[in-house]
Amino acid sequence: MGRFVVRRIAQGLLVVLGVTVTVFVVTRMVGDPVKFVLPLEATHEEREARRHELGFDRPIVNQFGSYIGDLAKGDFGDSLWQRGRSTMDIVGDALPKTFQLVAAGLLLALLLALPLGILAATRPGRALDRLLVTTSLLGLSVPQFWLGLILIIVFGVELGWLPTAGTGTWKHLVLPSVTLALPAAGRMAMMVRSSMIDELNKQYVKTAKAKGMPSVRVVGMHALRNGSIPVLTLFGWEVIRALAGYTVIVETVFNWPGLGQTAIQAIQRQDLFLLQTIVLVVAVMVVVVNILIDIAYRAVDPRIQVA
Amino acid sequence: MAVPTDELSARTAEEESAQLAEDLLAGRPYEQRGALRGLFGELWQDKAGFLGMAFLLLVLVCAVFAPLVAPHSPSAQSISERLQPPAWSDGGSWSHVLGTDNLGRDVLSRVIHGSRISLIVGVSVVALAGAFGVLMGLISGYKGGRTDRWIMGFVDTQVAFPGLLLALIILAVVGPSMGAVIIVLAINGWMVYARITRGVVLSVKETPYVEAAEIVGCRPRRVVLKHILPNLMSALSTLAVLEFARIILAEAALSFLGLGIQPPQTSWGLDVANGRDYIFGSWWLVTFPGIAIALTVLAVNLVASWLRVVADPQEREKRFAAGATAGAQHG
Repeated sequence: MGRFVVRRIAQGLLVVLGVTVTVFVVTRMVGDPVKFVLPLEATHEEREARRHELGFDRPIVNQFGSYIGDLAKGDFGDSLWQRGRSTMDIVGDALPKTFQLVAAGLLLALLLALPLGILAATRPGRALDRLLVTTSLLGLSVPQFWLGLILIIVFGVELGWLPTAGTGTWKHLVLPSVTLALPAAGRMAMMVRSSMIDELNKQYVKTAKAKGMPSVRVVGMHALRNGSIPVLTLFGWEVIRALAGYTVIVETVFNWPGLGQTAIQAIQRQDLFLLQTIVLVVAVMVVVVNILIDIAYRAVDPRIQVA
Repeated sequence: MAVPTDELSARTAEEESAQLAEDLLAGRPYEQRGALRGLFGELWQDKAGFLGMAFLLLVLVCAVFAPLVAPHSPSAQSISERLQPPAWSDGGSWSHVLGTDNLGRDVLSRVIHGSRISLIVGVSVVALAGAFGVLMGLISGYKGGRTDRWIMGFVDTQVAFPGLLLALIILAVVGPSMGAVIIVLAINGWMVYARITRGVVLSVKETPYVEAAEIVGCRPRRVVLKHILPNLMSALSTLAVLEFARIILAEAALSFLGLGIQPPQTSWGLDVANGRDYIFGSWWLVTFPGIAIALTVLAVNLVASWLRVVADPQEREKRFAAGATAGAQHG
């Protein structure tokens, strides 16, 4: 187990390094960072002065070296958009909002997917099963940003039940987390269903039924434990996907001041240094969650050999 | 007299061969069914898949003949007719069936023209990412050893990248355009093809017929292209269709965020973003382009689930064997 964790951490560091280098190369070499930072109407002299001031005229290896050096000292660089603020400070403000959204959304998705998937699996081919399969397929086909806007039109504009944007009360959280939850719930319900159908057809389930065990116990105690392993994998993938920036769509639609919206603002305000920090933080989060899932996976299923 | 005789003999020959085919297939009901039913017949059997394919054909026709199909030019503005509701609502008119946007442009015409971008981006990305991914997977699986470890190590690392964020940054830096969207989405999506290809190559590489081909002296290129690649067709065709659906959604999301297709081009995602500012009064601006995206992606998904069964020899076997037993029971 120890060796496995060490290897995964080394792999994770490689990912973080790869992401950082990619952002560096893309912003410093593919594009002109000064062109990105300054408005179009800036003169040539202004550009060169700014290039020198921000250090973009140095060789890229030097720039990368001093960036890594600053990171090691805990200096993530100052924001260009919010002058004088550390970029990490801005990220630190946005991150809890994203966590709140992801937690509410994915919890809701799990609460929807588990019972629906299990019910459908106990009676495959029946009305509930067919309804679930159809809605899931539909849910996979609907663009998330559009789903959010339609919810706003129905519940915010027409019915006036819920606020359409921003944060504050629990009511503000309802529409964004439902928008985040529905596609994930569709994917997970399908996974619960197919995984449970597989388990319910196995011999040990037939044995348990044959000896007269109540079906609630058979399904809930035996089949669910084995059937939940692929579901756990998918749930972990959903968490990673949400943290890896896919909340940017929901956050933009609902004007939710999380990390995704901050990333979009950093792009619009041409704040290169803030973007760098956001990508770095996201990469670290993705790597950490990945390792945690691998550990959890092995804890739930002792059949998996620790390699 | 000579001509009719020829015709007669030709017909007899045809009938003879039909008779022969029937004799051959007698007693093998599922092969007979498979032989009699063409691809269209198979598609017709799966009603959902058939509907999906029919809708996709409709979208394709709309995309190719957009200027002929659309009632108006997608960019024709008319301030006096701005924000008209759809025809069936109060104040709507049949000259703008789905209403007009904030500049008086016809929503239906814009939806029809928007299909072009979705299809072009989808097909290009699948072709680019698929070609590169399959190539990498073939090299990785066939060469093995250090090459395999390097390529798969690279794939594993890139899969863990926050792809959407990097895509947004690249698009912001190089400037958003259709070409940039295609390249960015292809860079983000090739890994899955490489993984699947490598898996199939590994399972096929040790089979006797591949070894035989190597022993008789086929060059690696020929072994890979003629003996290994055909085994991939089933897995890859389904994957490509599913990826096509994913790419349409991704393009729409990027355009919605303002980092994809740029005006004056029309894209469904772009139109939804545009309609967002008028969401409190004009619901139709957001609704119809979104329905277009959802229906197209749904159609592609339906075709994919049909293809998954049809393209896989094992699934086919199950299905037609089941059909044959059912037929025998009824008969």
